[in-house]
Amino acid sequence: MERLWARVAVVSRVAAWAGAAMLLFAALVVTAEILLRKVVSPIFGASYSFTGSDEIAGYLFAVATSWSMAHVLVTRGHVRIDALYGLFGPRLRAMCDVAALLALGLFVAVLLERTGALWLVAWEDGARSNTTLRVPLAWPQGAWVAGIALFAFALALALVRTVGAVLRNDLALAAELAGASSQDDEIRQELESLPIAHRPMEGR
Amino acid sequence: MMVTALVLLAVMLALSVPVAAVMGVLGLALNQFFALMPLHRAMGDVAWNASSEYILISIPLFVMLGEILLRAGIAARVYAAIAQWLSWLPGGLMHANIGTCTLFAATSGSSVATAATIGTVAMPEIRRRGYHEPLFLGTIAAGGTLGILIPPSINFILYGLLTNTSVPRLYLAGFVPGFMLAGLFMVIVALACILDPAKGGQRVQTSWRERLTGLPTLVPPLLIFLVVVGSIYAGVATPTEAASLGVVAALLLAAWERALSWPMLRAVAEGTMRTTAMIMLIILAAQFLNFVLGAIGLTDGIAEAITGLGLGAVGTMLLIVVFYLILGCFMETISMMILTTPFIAPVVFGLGWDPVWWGIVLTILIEAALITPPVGLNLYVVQGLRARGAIGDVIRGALPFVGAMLVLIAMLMLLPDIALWLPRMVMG
Repeated sequence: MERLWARVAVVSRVAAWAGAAMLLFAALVVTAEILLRKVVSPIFGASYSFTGSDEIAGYLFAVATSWSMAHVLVTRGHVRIDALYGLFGPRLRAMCDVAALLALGLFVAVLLERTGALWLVAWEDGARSNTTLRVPLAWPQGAWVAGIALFAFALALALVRTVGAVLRNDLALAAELAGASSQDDEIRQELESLPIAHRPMEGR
Repeated sequence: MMVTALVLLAVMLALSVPVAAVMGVLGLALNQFFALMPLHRAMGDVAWNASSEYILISIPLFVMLGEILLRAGIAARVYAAIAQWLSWLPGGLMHANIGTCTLFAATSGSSVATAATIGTVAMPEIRRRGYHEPLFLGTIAAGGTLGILIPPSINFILYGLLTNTSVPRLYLAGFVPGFMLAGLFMVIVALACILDPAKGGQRVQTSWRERLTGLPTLVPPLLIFLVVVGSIYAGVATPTEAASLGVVAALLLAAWERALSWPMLRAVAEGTMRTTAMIMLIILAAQFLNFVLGAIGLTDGIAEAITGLGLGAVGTMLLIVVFYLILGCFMETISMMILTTPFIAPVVFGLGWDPVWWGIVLTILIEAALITPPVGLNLYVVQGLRARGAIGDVIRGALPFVGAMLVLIAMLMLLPDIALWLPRMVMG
């Protein structure tokens, strides 16, 4: 179980990197299209342009997002209103954590089922996008649904582990697995990730 | 129906269920109890349409742009350059805090990151020059909030999506109030320091030569701002295209500054994707909830109930402003906006307020939420950087700036053209 969770954590991190790479690629494609259309074409007096970058960027965005969802779960990045939660004792907090995972699980289960059905229909009908590219929709949708499935799997695993921890009365582990990250954690993460050197201003 | 919805909402929020799940489960429950058709069957389509929505791609791209820029290591130099120009005012470097926040706001659009970056550079100066600590901290916390009012702002894109409002129009409308708010902040600092010169700290010595040599430092962030915002209005680019250009420009800048490295890119990637996936899951749930609310007629019901109070357009608006100020004390900001807009925006529009105008006012209320305790993220960021003293200092220091926001909202209510004039001039 531990090892499985560790593996899911690694996979979801790598998936998030891949997502960022896709977004960066989308930005490059879109930039290239604008430059060709607005700069290169007018200068050379001919139309050196390609279209469809918006559609491709849309698919890349969808896939990038869904592939990163599990990473948010693993790093406990989901926004929770902790105004009351902060006042609770560890036992009540653990209950809240389980409730939070259950609610998220319910939503994501339906989401996975419906998006899976969408993909299946696109696959069976061989549906293509209604554009000049005529992309077979099952491809981007399949990758997109795969991300949601990874998220759902990580969520199920987190739920099983948290419930197990609560049953064993290991509340510290439950908090580590599913507790709402406090503002302090959030800020520490924010600060750690910035290239900040503590030094006075220069040039005085 | 309305009672069920509110009770469910309150219980789930109290249990600190993640906001995305709150909205998703609420949508599913309302569908189960009140819908005549199984609306959840449409969730796949709703989710796919939102996920591949072209304008939303600008959100991760703007997040990425901000992440790259903040990690490009130019903050300290930009701050020093701006300090040369603004520190003759009563209040000295506190004006530089606000000015630098405004400039970074104009390029990145993330409040927390802006406050964190400027705060680190500025804070050592409190002791060195003997500033009044709470006020100095307040300028950083409040200055950081300017990010979401001055374009390119992620909040405007989300609001535009949720209410079908033109994002370029919102961007144009944000300019004047955004710079006015920065101006109001500076007036507060100047007044405080004229009334009590001890607050103002030691003068920063400067010369015209130093001012001019600092100017080139300001060129890259201004250039990126021009690329991003300018291209939208020149008609060259949509917000998504502009954000793409901005990302590429920021990468080139980071490369020029020799700040590009694998650890830096990794941090950018993880920061961007974490924020993006978190926001997008909320949006997927919100779009589904919107769909259900509309289909079962709850949106109309709420609008009727509030209109039925008979407070008139202004009275109801005041009530809504108070509602947001209170809610903002307890809720994280982006989720507050996405969660409340489906309910509140139709009421506001029904009373005859302009959607673009409300987008601006709502954003100012969200800024206030960032610096009102107990849940005011910027307060904690500043306190976290400071790592000594009590959070009460930061809260006290930020309070006058909440006042400035309320003044601006009052001005906007009296004179909606503060926001609406520019979009009308440019776009007709």
